[in-house]
Amino acid sequence: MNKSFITVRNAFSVLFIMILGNYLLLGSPFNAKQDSWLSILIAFAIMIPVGLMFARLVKLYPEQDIFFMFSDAFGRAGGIIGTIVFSLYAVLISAMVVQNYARFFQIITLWSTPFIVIAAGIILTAVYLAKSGESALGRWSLAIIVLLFVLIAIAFLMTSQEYNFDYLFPAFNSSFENIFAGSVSLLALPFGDIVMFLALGDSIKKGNGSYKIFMISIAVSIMLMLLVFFKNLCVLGQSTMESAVFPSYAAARMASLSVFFERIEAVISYYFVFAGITKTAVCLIAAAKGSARLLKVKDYRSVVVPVGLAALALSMTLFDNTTEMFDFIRKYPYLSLPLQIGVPLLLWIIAEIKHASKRPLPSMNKLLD
Amino acid sequence: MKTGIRLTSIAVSLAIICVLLTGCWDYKKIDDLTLVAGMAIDKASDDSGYKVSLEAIDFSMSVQENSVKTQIIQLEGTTIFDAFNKTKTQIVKELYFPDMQIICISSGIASDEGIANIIESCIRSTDIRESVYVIISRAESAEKIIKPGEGMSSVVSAEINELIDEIGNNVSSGKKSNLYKIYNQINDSADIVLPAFSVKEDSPVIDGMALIKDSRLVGYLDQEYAEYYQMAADILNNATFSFAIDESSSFNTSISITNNRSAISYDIKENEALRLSVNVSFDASVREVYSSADVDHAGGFEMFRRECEEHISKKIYELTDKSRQEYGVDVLGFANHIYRDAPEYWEQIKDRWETMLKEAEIFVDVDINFTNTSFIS
Amino acid sequence: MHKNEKKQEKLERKVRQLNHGRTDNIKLGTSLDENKELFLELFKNVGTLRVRDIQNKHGAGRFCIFFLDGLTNGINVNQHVVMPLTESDAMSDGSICEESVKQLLYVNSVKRVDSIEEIIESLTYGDTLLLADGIDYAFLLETKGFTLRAIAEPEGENILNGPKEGFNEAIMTNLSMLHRKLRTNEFKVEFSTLGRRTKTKICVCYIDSLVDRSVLNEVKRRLGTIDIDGVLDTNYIAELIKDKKMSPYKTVGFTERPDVVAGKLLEGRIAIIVDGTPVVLTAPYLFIENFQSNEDYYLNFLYTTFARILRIIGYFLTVLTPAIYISIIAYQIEILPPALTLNIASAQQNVPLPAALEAVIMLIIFDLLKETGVRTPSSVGQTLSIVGALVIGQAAVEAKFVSAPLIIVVAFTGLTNLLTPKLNASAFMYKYIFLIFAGILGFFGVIVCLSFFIIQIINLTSFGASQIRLSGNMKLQHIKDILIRAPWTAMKTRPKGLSQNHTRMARKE
Repeated sequence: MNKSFITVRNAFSVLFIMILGNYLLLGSPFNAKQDSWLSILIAFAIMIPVGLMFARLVKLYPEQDIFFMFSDAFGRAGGIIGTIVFSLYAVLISAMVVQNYARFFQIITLWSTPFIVIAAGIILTAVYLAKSGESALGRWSLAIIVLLFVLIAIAFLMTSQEYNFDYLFPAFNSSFENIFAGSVSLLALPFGDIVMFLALGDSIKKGNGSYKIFMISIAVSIMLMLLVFFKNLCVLGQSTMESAVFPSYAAARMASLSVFFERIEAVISYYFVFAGITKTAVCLIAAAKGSARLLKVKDYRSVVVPVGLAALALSMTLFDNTTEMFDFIRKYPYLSLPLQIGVPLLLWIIAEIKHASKRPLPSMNKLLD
Repeated sequence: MKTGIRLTSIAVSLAIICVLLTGCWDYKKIDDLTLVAGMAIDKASDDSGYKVSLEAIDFSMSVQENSVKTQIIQLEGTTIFDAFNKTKTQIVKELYFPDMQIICISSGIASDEGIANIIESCIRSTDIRESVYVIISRAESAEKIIKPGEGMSSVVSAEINELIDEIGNNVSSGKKSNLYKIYNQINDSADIVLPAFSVKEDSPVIDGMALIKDSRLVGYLDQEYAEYYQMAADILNNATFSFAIDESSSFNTSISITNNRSAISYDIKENEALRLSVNVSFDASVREVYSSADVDHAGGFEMFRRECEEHISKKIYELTDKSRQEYGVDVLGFANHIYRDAPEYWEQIKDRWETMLKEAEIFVDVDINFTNTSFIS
Repeated sequence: MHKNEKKQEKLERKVRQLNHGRTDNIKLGTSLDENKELFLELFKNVGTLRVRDIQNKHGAGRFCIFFLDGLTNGINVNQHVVMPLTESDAMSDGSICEESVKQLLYVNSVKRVDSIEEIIESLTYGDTLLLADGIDYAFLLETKGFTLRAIAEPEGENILNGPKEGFNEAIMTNLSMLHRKLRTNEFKVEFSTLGRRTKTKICVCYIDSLVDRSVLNEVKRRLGTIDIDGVLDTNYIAELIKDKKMSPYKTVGFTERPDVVAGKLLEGRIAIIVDGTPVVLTAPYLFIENFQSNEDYYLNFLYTTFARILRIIGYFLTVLTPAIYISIIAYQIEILPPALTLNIASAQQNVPLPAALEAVIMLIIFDLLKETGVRTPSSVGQTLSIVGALVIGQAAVEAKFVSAPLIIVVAFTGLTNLLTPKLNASAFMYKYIFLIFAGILGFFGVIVCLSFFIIQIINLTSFGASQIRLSGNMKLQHIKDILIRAPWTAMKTRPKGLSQNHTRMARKE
């Protein structure tokens, strides 16, 4: 099977949709109320070095995925442990993503539809996408991202009548702990899952592309997050935004252009299916690659279907209702930060040491001449 | 290849069987639904709950008579949603709320227990849109507002909705409020102004503004103040209105207003007394003039302008004063402004706000810029 | 008697061996009569076979010609074969050899043959077989002359402006049209034969310096693996060399117009021409070609850009419209403005079936009507379509079998289907699939199904290269011919990935 490559722009689209899709659905943590945009900025500041670290990891191991990095850095036993943990984590994240999106759709219209049908819809499509390979994933994201920008623009324009800039004030009124707590949540949920992308590392061609992918997607998604946050705040106001479980959806409900376009929030929100499928597909590819390596299967595509079904089964039992789900999301940073940032940090340090020792020291050569 | 086809066909047939046998779960047949256009909430007859009247569109009658027909469904229950459940005991099809545009609350409920409960339960429901308009009924009951009169052949709630939509483009009433904005204001403990309706000749008309404090109805501002309130609260866009400069004369002056801008501000004096100011400015053109001044030349026109300004600022002062003294309500939103501008200062005076409001000095400044005098000078 | 019977048996055995394909030990003998008998036995019961014995006036020898009536040009045979053989005195010394025969006959191709298979192939195509007494080989003479359909504009691909030639069923005529358009020696034509019984001639054409070698090799490889009884049409080949055998999407292009083929060859593609059918294959195939039509290049570019975008939108509309209609009225009625809700609800009032079922039934009926319309003779066709559309539709609405908005939706679906005839197969299938998903899950189902649809399209490949190139490195030159149709002055390079040589137009200094 030919190795499929993702081009830089396609990879950027994949990451972008992963980050922004989750954000648009769940909104940002509103601990700091109207100053939550500061949480976003602080999260950005923390993500810059983390993103650089991810990019450097990809560059240090050209065309290798994270499982190879594990075995290279931690040795054979450590590699196996790392692979198992990472694959399990990937399955967990896919199940959680499916739960997020499926609960959303259940709440909007599909009240009585059994949960498995909605979850199966998302997962089966994600399995199909994962089976098509990374290059197909990249092209699919590129096709979808145009739609994403268009929909965000529409949402902006249509709610513009309802903007009330009073809601932004009073500014700088919240305590620093609240703001920081918001940033930590942000780091965990949309941003942390970037680590899944490392599993696709073997599809990025050699070179500096990885820097562009990570940094540009983080930067652009932060900008859009800020814009969306301000839009939601100006339309909804503080109390509504705090109580709304899905803020962007609630804000879109106010959209009206004339009588004809009044209630289109449902149509805009169904876009989230695409975002959910993309993110689930990335997680499934990560889990499938890990499992394939463990089971000594050559091509991960044969393992995608069983992994997908496992994720489906897990998503059925993970949470019983939305309250449990949001509770878990609140506590999620404790689980995710060590895995999403701590482990790559360790990897990076070891990789840098190894890389440095490989390079011949120029001064020694000169001495020998 | 063969096993692949076999497996696929098994999977597909299983899926089809499951779906065909268990059915489409959320499929709504459109004629099995009752589209609710408006809701009116009154006190229950036995005083222990709510009586909810829903204006629903009756499709079968509409088809027969070839025009829209509505019917009123009356339900009683301890809470609003309890009342909705009662539909199961009557011959009513499933209620469909996303098209609802109006929630009308009777003055009885609004003044006794307040609107907070109702607003919160409505916001919590996913069916009811957050952008419905809330109005207060000044008539005997809320139901009377949405009940279609004899000659009406259209949906009353839709008409009310249109009336409210037009606020700002005509001088009909005070302020329109969506459900979620009211919810925000309740949580901020701000004072709320809602349109008040009464019934005249079997059709609903706007009749002043309802003033709500601590989510309870405390009083009304009459219709005569409607236009001035709109000017001061920066709601007015373009409108024509007439007023009598000279109260003794029976003729009115009419001007067309465009570009209305209003700003409120506050000053803290030395002795901690507040000075609240309202600055209104707009462009206007004259429609009818009945003034003692001679408007045909510049000097006279200047006098006319000053007369208008004085009249308007007097009226604005009256409405602000009346609401604060009689009802303790801050109609123009000074509290909100102070909170947003200087939250620390607001923390200090929060508890004494009501007295401070009553003692504050109110200063109104109106600035009219007459652009033309219509077609004839 | 006995001897004759034995001889007859031997002959029949030989013929049977030949018919079963074992030709190794069957050779032509030197005796004219033996060979003649062999061929008469081979072509026993072939009523069109004509045999003529020729005796040279000057005693040079005996000849015998075989040809099939209707396939040969009679004048050619008489004047340039029979006459010289009868009249000439060149071989009066009795030595008949290849050179002397070739010098004698005024035919533009004289070929010496030994294998009987080749003789049968050529004889059935219009060549004349010349047997001579005393030699153990035979001659095949080029005397083809059969009637063909005149060159006319292909019905399915007519245009307003531009060349109106179309291919016809003779491979030589088709190649002649291409040669006239591509007057270069780089236009290569490689012949081969397919089909065990039909022995159909096919040829692979390409322009040497432009073609992508790997695709060419892949095409040749796949053609080589075809082992089938008969090839009557290019569709046989198309389905045999397809990438994924079960997909409703095309992996090769079909066309009946020489200007289209020439244009595609100039872009670096490969054409496969099959004798006996006017339809020519082009490979590789990009997905966007489903939406292109050749007259795009002959009309103004603004109009054709718009038309192309319209076609793409039309394709999505034709599969999505019934599904979206059902999703809206059964799951998300609030999207509609109140007046429209009222109208649709009143229309649905007394209709017995739920909307989704109605939609399926109406779609099936509409497809039925369309199929009938295609097959009826033109005289009846007009009346039938009017009856079908107006009367049945109107009556169904009045009898309250179906609701009027649904008829509009179904008619719209059918109309937009006509925008993209090449995608008929997939549109037909997906219409129903989308509708079923919409009926079960509403908008969510539509979007899940749409994702499947998009992923399937993204996964399409044609001869190893993917049909949709979304690499994200969008330079203007790459999309100039895909979404829009840029004016000719702007199309400086060929579409990316199709050929080795990119420059189409010289850059102005």
